[in-house]
Amino acid sequence: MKSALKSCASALLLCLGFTAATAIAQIDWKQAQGTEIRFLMNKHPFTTFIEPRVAQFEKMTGIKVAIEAFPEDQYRNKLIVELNAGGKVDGYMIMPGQDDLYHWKAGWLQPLDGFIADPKLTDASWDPKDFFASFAKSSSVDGKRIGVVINAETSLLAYRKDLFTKFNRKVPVTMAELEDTAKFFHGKEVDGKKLVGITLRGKGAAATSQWVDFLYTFGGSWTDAKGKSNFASPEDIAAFKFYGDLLRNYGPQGGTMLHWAESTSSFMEGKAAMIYDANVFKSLYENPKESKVAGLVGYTVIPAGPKGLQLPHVSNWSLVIAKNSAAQRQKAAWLFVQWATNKENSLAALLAGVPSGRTSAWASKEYKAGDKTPDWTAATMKSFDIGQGQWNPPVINVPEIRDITGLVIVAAIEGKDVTEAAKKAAELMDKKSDM
Amino acid sequence: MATTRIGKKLKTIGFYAGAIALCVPPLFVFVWMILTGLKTGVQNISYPPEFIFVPTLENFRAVFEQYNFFHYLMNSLIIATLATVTSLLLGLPAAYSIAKYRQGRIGILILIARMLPFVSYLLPWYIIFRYLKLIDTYTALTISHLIITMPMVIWLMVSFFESMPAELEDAAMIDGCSRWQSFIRIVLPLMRNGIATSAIMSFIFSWNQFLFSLILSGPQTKTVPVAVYNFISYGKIDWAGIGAAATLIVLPVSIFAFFVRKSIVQGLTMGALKD
Amino acid sequence: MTTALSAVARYVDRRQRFFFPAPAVAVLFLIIVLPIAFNLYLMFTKWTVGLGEPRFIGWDNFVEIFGDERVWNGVKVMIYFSGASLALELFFGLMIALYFNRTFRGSEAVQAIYIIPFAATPVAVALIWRIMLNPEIGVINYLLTSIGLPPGLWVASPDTVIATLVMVDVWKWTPMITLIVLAGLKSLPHDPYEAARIDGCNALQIFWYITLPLIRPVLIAALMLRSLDNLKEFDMIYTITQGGPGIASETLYLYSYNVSFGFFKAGYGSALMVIVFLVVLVFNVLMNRLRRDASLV
Repeated sequence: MKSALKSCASALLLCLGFTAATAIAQIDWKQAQGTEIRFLMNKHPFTTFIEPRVAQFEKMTGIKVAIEAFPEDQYRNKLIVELNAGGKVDGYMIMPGQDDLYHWKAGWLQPLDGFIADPKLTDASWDPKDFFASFAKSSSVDGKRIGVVINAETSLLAYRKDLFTKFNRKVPVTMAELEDTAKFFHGKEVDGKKLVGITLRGKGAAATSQWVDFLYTFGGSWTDAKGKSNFASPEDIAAFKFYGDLLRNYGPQGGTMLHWAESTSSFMEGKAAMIYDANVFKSLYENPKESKVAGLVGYTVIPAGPKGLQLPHVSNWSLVIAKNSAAQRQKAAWLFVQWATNKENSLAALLAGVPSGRTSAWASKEYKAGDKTPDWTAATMKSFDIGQGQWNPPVINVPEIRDITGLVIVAAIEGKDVTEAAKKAAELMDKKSDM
Repeated sequence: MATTRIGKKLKTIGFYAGAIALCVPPLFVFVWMILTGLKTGVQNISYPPEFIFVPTLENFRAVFEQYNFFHYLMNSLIIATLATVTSLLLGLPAAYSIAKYRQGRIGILILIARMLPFVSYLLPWYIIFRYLKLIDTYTALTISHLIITMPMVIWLMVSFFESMPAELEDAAMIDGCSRWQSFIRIVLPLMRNGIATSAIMSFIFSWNQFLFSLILSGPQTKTVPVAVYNFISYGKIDWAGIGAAATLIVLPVSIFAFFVRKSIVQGLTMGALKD
Repeated sequence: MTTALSAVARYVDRRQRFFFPAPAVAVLFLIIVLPIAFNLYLMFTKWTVGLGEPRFIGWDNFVEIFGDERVWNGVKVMIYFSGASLALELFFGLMIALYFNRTFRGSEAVQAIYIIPFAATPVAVALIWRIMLNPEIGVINYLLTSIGLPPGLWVASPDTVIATLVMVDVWKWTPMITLIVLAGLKSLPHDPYEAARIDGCNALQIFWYITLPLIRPVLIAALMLRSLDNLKEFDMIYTITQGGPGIASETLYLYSYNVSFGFFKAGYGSALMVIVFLVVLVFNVLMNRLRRDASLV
């Protein structure tokens, strides 16, 4: 009773502190002056966006920030080796939903609640409530906030508006229509180019991120009520089959080697009528320096499954702070994370095509006025709304189980016996899962 | 008489046909690499591929200005040089002794170092170098490259030393030189060719090393093979950047090989192969 | 002082056979001893990098290896890839060396161009191969179709992926074999050839009965040198296919990498790497024996 009173009182004090801070408005940005921090980052559009702006932060705070960015696979290798050996990493990027459990169990993540609550460290204008609730939630483990979202991701169906108009086709809203539309466009000659109906990722583990949307939409799931692999269920098998058949029959050749780069380049070259991939790739499709289809692309959410389900996944990249880093450097790292995710940068990132995790950025006049792809915005918003936060198997060793899943996807694309492959993978998944 | 002339002609034709067959595959890949670097992003994913286009030097500019490639080239140069010099300093006396005293067992140790899967070095090395505060230093990278370059130098030099007549050294000994002196003053100068060959091979292999450099390097010491991977990013591969970067990485070593090819063959001829 | 120094010098000098190789041996030993100990320990443990301490589980990892389909797939891929690439590199390396062994006008220039791939950085050229081999937008399929040949799927099909990787490996490494064999050919004695010519042997007979037996030790030496890297081929396969499609080009070495650095199961990964090491070791011991036999002939 007494302790409850005590915590109530301290909460009250905290609130008071908060209001006081609001009144003062500005924290002391120079408080960690002279500190040098090092962030390891994935070579993500957000990284490309923030790197040139870091100088501003360094000028404002007197903190020196070294950012090292690597492509995703190499990034993960290097990150784990360094974290394991207690390397000098002060902050880094993770994908909660893929990495959070592992990093949390390994004790690499510093909970951020303390920083956020401290009015000396966190500027009132940062406004934690401004982030989409679902993303803020997914950047938490065991009730502790461990990351701040920098990129709110979901997958969308992108299609060639010009071709759909030319051939008078409707945008597919069910999976049956999707297949039908892909079939219609597959093999059509347009401007001397032979089209493919749709392009998707097909390269094993990499494909699971988009395949999972089909899984959920077909009513399937990773695990059953007992926590065992559900791969051998009719719904899961139907999802594997549909995805594999779609890509094999109406996709580019060599579907099993399509990673994102191969898949997006088919679409950007104008060879594919549709693509289902991450919404963040809009900035690729719409960049005339990289793409031949800039300005010709429409966007919509995933078509509905046989039972009317429509369940894309939402994922995000977050900035986290390393537990192992020293207190002073953690403070500096938090100032950096805070600055990188403030309203101004979030809006600028969104304007540069990196989907922000802040509602204010999406709602801003600047964004709405300059929005050249309102259907992308609408589809992204809808997908955030209906999306599933759990998009990976509920295990610690996500990469290994994704890899096992990828083998079934590959078998499905190759037209092999999916039921058998799925059964084998289910057994393997149960054997290899670390909970 | 006439038949031999025709025979000779056929032979010449055969030789030139062979020459073309041998030159096309390397040239094709290299020309394509350079073309990739001279195209824009859109041109690189175009199908049919564009053979005639207005070349742009934009990628090469970006590689230097945005990606700081000069720094990485210098890193690679420094590390490859350090690894080569260290390998020679340590490897030459070792190879000499192995050749002279038939110390086959030392050869086995060297071979084992070379046979171990490189991947298995990564975790422990990182821990050790972290403990020694050597992460992101030239020292750590040089040491890691020694695994490749030192066995290479020793393997080549053992055979060179074996091919050297013993009388030469004996003569020096009679003149009152110590073994060290005779090694440095008499033996090594005679081995110029071999030393050049092993230095070049060592340099090439160190320059091309990817895996160790990926894990052990940092912002200060990143080498070019790691840097070329920077053009792969979230959702796309910047083929134009890769073309430009690959050209810059491959050109120096290729030119190197181009000019020293003769000495490689000569070097190998002198020894190396006589068991 | 001087006498003490010269005493030391004399001491060192008398023990040349110890002091000359000592620094190299010491450095190599220091570099490899901890990783070896680390792996020998890890292979008996279950450990995900970062999650607690490695847990000792005895031989369980090796039991798991026997039941692991991907290990057997890895062995199969390794045999197929290494067998084909080593054989072809040796064959072409020898043929091309014989070709270069005769001087003709321009042979220097041809040789210089021909050996470029050998010096080229593997990850860089592998990336270029990757775009050239793309079945949809790659230049190779374009050239094939424009001269009326059917396009290939190259690395995008499980049926052709290994053959394609072998092709790239042969492109890259045959020049090295050629250089070694060419050097060997140049150092062959002249007498047997004179005798054969007097006896009226034709070119084929000379090659078969004289050149081949004489050059055999050199061929095996080249094969051994190349096999050290080829059996552990990483950069090229990792860059072009990462073991795909599915696991169709996942060699045992690549699998051990995936387990250790993709799944971060370092215990099991270490056990796999020990197997890779044993394969390389056994291959080299066999070759070495073969070489000794060959040099006796």
